[in-house]
Amino acid sequence: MWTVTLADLRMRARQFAVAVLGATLVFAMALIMAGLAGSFDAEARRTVASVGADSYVVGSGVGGPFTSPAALPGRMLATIRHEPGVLQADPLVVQPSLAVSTPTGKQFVHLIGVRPDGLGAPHVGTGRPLAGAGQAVVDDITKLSVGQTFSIGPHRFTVVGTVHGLDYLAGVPIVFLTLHDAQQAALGGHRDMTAVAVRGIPQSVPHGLTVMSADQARQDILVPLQQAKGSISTIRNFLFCVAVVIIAVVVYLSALERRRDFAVLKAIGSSTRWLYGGMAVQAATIALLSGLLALAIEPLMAAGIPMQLAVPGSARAALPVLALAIGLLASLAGLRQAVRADPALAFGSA
Amino acid sequence: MALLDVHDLVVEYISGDYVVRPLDGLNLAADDGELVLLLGPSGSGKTTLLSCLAGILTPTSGSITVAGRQVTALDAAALARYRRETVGVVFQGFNLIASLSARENVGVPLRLSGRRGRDIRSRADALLDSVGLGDRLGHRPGQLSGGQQQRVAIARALALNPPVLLADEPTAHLDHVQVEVVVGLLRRLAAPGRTVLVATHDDRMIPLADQVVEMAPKLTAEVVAPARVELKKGELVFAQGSRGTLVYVVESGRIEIVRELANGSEERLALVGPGEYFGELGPMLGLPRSATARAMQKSVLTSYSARDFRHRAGAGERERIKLIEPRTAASPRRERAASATK
Repeated sequence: MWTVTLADLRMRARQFAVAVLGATLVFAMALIMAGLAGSFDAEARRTVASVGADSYVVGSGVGGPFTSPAALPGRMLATIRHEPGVLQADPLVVQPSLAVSTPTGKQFVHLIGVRPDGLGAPHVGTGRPLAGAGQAVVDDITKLSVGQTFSIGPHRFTVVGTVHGLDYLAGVPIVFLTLHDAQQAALGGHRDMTAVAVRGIPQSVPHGLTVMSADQARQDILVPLQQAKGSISTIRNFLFCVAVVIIAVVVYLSALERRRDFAVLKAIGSSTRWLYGGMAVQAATIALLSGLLALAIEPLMAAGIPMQLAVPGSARAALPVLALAIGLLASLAGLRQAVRADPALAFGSA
Repeated sequence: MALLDVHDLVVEYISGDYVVRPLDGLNLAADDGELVLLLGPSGSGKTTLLSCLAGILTPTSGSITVAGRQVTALDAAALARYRRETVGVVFQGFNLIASLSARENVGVPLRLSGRRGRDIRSRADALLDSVGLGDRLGHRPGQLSGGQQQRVAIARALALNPPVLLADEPTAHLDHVQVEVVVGLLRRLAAPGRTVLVATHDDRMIPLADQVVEMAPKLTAEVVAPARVELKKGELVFAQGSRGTLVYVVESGRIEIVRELANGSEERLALVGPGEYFGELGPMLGLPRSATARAMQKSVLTSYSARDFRHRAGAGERERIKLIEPRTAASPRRERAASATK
């Protein structure tokens, strides 16, 4: 079976190369889609982890500290700091999806106001940490460099440092300001806060407030992305279907061209199972080769996408297995030809 | 007992709307080591018979016994094994697998039989060497001449050393030099331990054969005297699918020519009246009757041998015989589908 199968693959190399190319691109796209969905989880995890809080105190009924902020009176902070279970508590001012004007134009960012020495203060990659008024630390997705300026309404800020990988809601970068500046820019100058980041877990909180774990805060970030993730998953499934179709078409056409071969092979004693086995091996070979090539070219394709993709290791590991299954599914397209091949056809003249 | 015995074999199938019976009660016996020639024109049932002998086509009735085993009684698995081990087939047009080399083509039946690696290679090489292609082992069919491809096909058919070798029109695509090589090879292969059956319309092979089976009656050179045939209403002149040697001219009465359809009904093709003739093509071409001829009323015909009829028609008697649609050919007596002559 291997001899006949591989010889046919060799003879129809161009035909199969086209199928491999098509299936490779489709598999790579599917990996990128997995990376896109994975990036939503990864960015949420990084953002929440960067704050360093075990829990957050927010207003009752609020979805989470990063997505649906509601102002809390600043005086509440002292109360929370005295609650049992609280090791450290620092105020945050969060304003998601805020438009800022940069030298290159308007862009949307998430604004987070922090105390420079408190929980949530960013660890800069380049430049220096936040130290005072008018300063900002930005994620490098903004393309802003140290020394550049941007404005939020009438307020102007200078970038003193940059961080990498602090973004959420599908790659929207975070801009860190001092608490005071954030109150000016987002809360009209009121000395309020939108959440309290806590090391430890408060045993109780004042009426009208509630405690969320860091994990709940992370889950909350993902809520607005559920539909997007669902759509990505659907597109991924479509892509796998396209891969099935590409391979199936080639296998089917090959089977059509090989009808006389099948008839001859049956006439000299081969079984339908043997013939189908050959086609299954061909389809699986195309699919597996495509899967492996997709793993190789996915990073090259991902480099052209302006988001930090996070292809889960499980998706990479599963691809060859999935490709194999896709190949076997596609090979069913040729099964009918193998079953219907009439050995009597072998007696016809060429 | 003969190595190969075919008894009262009938093959019937539906083609379009009507029933075709390419084999009708064929009998054949071949001994071990014989070269049997199945001789006849296209459509005479040669390939149909080979398909039955190869276990590819199930006959409508009758039996085929090879080496004491009744082929027509085998189940699917046993039939596949029979095709692998008992018969080797050399197909018309070679039918080699284009993607495989000569060695790989010959190796296919060996792989199918479960042999492995070196064993296959050495057997394939030996077979190709024996047919004079020891220096073409790695060549694909496209790189070989017709004769060379035919020899690869023969080597493939011999891979599992079957006791019966079937060859369908082995000289059809070859020039005279290649014909000589292939025919000589087939003659050599017909030796104790192996019977070779060759289906061909090429009568140049006759001198080499141990037995010739005429798959269709030949237009005999013998001129049979014209005979008067009297028919009652409804009586058959000949039946569709039968074979015959006579052509009929209607003297009086009326003859209906009908084709029997697959659903059991009949389609009328023509009504033949006094001065008209019918049934000439079957005897002349060696084909079975393609329709049934039946008397519509009390009728009188004159029967002629085909050669006599052709002679008379050419000599001016045509003026007396009115041409109608020449669709059928005839004999009131059913004849054997094939006659074996040793």
